[in-house]
Amino acid sequence: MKIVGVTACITGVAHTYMAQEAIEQECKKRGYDIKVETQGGMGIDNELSEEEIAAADVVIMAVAIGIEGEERFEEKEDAGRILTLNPAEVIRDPAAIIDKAISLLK
Amino acid sequence: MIRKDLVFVKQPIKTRAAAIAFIANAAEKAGLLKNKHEFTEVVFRREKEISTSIGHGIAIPHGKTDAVQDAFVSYVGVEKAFEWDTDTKDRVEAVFLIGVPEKNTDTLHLKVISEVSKKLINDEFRRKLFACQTGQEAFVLLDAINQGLKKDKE
Repeated sequence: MKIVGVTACITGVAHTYMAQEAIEQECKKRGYDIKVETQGGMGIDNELSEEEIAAADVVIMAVAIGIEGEERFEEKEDAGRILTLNPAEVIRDPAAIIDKAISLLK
Repeated sequence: MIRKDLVFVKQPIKTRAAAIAFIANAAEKAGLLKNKHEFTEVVFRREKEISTSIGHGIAIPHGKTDAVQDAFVSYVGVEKAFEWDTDTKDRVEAVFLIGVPEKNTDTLHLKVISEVSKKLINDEFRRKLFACQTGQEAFVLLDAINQGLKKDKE
């Protein structure tokens, strides 16, 4: 299973990075391949390439604001492979959110 | 960055307002705020938009405003978990209040805050933090994150 994600919150100091950690931790626990790009107060970190996005089974958008480079995800959007939610949701219950993301494949 | 005078445990705090006021006072005393009143208002406005309780017994109220002199993160453990807000009804036992200036924030400060935030997702780290009996113990635990970052830089 390959998952990529983007996290971004309004203030860009805490939720963005907590959501990243929550997604990574849960995916690693399950043995999934995971990479999460953060768009926060420190700018864009861990940026996802077109290839990485193309190779992903599902995309998790834990974003409370508009993000940079949204067009990179158009194909995944058309394929119905993107789960969009508020960063706070994935921090609260990462397992449930990853389950939900995977259910997009069915 | 993690300051001993901003780390507290076992505080007899029972409401969100009291927690925020308590930390704002400590931050002002430490010279980290230009305007305590304004800072407190920004933090409350953020809370009203959406609660900063993140589950797991933790709330991370924050204010991004130029009423902040220098970026900081403060930790307050409370004596007894209390209901943070009426929307989530979450019971909170640890409050991390974050203050950052609107402009010209040192990225190292942001890095430390983001690393501390990430650690809070870790069950093991939370267990250790909640078990701290003194402010000194909690400070050492949190400061280790800071020191780890410095090492990475070298």
